[in-house]
Amino acid sequence: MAKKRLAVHRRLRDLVQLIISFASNAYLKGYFNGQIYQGSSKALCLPGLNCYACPGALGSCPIGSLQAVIGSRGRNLSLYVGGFIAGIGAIFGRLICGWACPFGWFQDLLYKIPLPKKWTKKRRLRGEKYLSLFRYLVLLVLVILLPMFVVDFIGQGSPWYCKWVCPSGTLSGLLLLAGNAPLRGAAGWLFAWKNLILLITIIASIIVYRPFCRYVCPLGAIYGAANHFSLYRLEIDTEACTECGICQKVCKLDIPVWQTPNSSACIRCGDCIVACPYSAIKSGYRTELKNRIKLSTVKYRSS
Amino acid sequence: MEKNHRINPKTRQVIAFLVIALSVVAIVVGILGDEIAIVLTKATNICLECIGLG
Repeated sequence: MAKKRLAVHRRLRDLVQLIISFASNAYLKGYFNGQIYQGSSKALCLPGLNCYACPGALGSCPIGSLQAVIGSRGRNLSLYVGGFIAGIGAIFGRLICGWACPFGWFQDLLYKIPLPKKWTKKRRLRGEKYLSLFRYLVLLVLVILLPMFVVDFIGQGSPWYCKWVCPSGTLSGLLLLAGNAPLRGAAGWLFAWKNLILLITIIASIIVYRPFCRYVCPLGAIYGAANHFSLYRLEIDTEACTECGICQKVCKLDIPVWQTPNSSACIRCGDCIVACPYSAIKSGYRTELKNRIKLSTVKYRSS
Repeated sequence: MEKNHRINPKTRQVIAFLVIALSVVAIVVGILGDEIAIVLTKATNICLECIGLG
């Protein structure tokens, strides 16, 4: 029964991710003529990692936009994009990563590719603790500091993260280049480097669950930090929890949910909530406050 | 494994609402400062760096 419920929940999450990814990249004409959408909706950021070079993208990538503003002449700060990311993080935390990030969904799909169990069982890499800190380094150095301080003669910074790392951009580029012959001719060694990173990401995603989100994604780093205080959160009913460990067993990220329900690694997929046989994991907005209100209501009624 | 950071629920909610309030102010100030035009310009031109061409 629990297994069936978990399967239904996972299918529901797949569907939500499909709808959001499609809605974010719904400019179908772009895929055929090798052009990008140029409407005014591109002034708005999307909550997940979704490159604006994707032919179908209807909005902007928050990390790309952040670097574009930080690196532009006469600016060292992006209040608009920074405020957007911080606000989304404070409301949802990494719920976005689990349910609304197109590149996260891409990795989810890759992880479904069947491999011998010996490989797919590997949910955690050696040195996970240190590897998970790498995304903060990427955020600080490639997204903020280098575009801010390494500028050309007119004071323009380069989007270092997009240029040297982002596999989402490369994937979008492949879609764009498929329909744009003149651009294909411009591909050189940088394109080869970025394709190598994309290839490594793809292979790693088949073996380990969401390696890019766990170790590299700068957006995941911000949302992950926000997991600790965001309004949407997971909570453990300590009276119902028997510490059986089923939540950790079903968690593809191997998080001991009963100990750290709002871990910065948690993408809030909700598998643990559905799998818990004691219904000890609750999720929602301001759940502690709700509980307190309920508790005080009960006390008031009983008195 | 990550330590269980137990922030007082009230403090946590204050932090969340403070961040949300500050982000709303930041977004408004950013829009007034014409940041949205930079984002739009960047997003409506093919980002060559993003796709590995520039």
